[in-house]
Amino acid sequence: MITPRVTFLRSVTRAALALALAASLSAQLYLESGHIDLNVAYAGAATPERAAGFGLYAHHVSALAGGATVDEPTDHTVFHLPDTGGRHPTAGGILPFLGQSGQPIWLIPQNSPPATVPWVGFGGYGLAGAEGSPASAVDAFAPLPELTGSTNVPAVRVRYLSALTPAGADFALWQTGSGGAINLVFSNRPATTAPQVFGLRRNQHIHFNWGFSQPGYYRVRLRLEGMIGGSPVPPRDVAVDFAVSVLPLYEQWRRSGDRFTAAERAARGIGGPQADPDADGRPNLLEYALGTAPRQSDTSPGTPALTLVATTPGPTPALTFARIADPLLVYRVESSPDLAAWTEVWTSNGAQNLAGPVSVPAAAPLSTANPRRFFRLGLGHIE
Amino acid sequence: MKNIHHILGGATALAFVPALAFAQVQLPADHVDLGIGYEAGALELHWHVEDLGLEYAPDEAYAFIPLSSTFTRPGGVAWDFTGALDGETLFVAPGTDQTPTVLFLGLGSEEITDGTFQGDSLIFSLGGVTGPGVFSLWQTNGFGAPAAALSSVSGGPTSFSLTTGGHDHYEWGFTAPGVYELTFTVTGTLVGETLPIADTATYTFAVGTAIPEPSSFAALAGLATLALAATRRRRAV
Repeated sequence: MITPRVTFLRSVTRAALALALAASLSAQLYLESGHIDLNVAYAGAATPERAAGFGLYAHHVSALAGGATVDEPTDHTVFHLPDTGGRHPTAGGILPFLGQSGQPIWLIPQNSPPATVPWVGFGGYGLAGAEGSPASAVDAFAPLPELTGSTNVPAVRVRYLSALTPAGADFALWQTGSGGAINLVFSNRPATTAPQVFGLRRNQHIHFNWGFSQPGYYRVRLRLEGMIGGSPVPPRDVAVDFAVSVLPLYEQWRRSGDRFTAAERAARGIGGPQADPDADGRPNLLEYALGTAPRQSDTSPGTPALTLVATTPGPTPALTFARIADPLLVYRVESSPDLAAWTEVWTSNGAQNLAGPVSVPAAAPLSTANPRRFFRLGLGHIE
Repeated sequence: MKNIHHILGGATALAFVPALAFAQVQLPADHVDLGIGYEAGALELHWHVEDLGLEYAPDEAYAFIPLSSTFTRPGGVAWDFTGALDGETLFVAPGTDQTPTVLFLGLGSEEITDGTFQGDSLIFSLGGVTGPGVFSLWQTNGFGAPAAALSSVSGGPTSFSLTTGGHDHYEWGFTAPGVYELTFTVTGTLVGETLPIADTATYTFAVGTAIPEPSSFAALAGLATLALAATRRRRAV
């Protein structure tokens, strides 16, 4: 699990069962093959395309864009490293900073990657720039004294902060030299000798080996730093996500059957968790969590429904819906007498999420003094 | 020269030709690819200077490797393809972009669209090698082991397959300073065809301070130092 960050999609259910989207969920673009450079960008002032300051973008050729090169913020991307081409069955421990002897590791190599592996490097091109661009966003920065022979070349630093990994897993970034020397750059092992930082020159294009010792989700947090005009500019912390030999069930659902093509999954307005391509009022993540069809406007049995449970002195309203067995989902039911004050009456996540119908009663039965009850179903996905 | 468009004022060019007629263009210590293109039914080898967006014909420019760019050949038979003995010095254009003072040379075929050649692959092979030492080409994997691609050592590998539509980087090694002439051939079979097509070109590598001898194309190369613009469309990654 990368992080406990949860974003909720919330549906408000009342007599008409109206569903409303009340919060956002960051879209995820899975990049799984091809040449991708993590492109450092900088802007002195905000533009319509981006905020001021540093940014890190996945610079890649996009099938969705007809083969054009696209810079996607790394906040929106996940690099998927599958077993095929990425798993080295007994290579653990060969490198002293990665894995246990005889155990597998997963690797994105610095050169000649298998076609099934995303070839992730770094680029100092700037947003919408490309290697060879006449002007790079990195042009504005002062040279870095630690870069040998680069006294006149503008550069920025990419500093490792931390890696959220599966329990006990190793993450490392390194290069191998011409004669096979191992030059460790980043490592999450305690007391490592890795410098945990490297300099990236204007227009530089550089590849590393990325290593992971266990299947699971990894979030590598980096800090972008640099000096302009003799003063440091505000650094920016960014994250780069990897899914190693795993895919979230939600992502598997998007891919199964004919729900979404690869291009549709990459288009947030169609395949994103907040998108509602069948215009039935239920965004994709809600369709997934309720077991309904995202491309067919319908009122299938999974639709949340209001029911009445016979209780004394009066009936108690309940919200009934279908739940699926995805531990990354967080279901939350709240009720309110007036659509103003909401009380959580039920929640479910992790192993509690069993597939099947769920009926959640309100906290109290209806009464003359309290004749109305509203429900809303909140839905989150642990990213 | 095929498919390369020069933007050059005629009068200005004539004025500068005599002064520059004795040398090929030295490629900058930047990211350069030995480029493989396909246009008008033919494969075409060239140089592509990534940072400047320039292209040169193979005989218009040469690769320079400073004497400072070296490493010591490790022990083990896996390194025999380099032609150096254990502990001897090898001169190298490295496969990683470590410093702006050393050429970062790759092999690029971004210009070739998927589905052009059968299997989206080409064969890159080494023909003649002249020079004071051994030339070899390899990559090191994530564990530091070499994977030899080409070598002028007797019995060494002389060809390998590369995937079109991308680029990759290699270690370009030489056992002694001096000027090397390396002849490469790229071969592929177009989709729907049965007979392969190929292009062959000779590239010059200067290890150390030596400058290549003039060639019949030297004057043209001199012009290229003044102003050259390539219009070849490339994928930008």
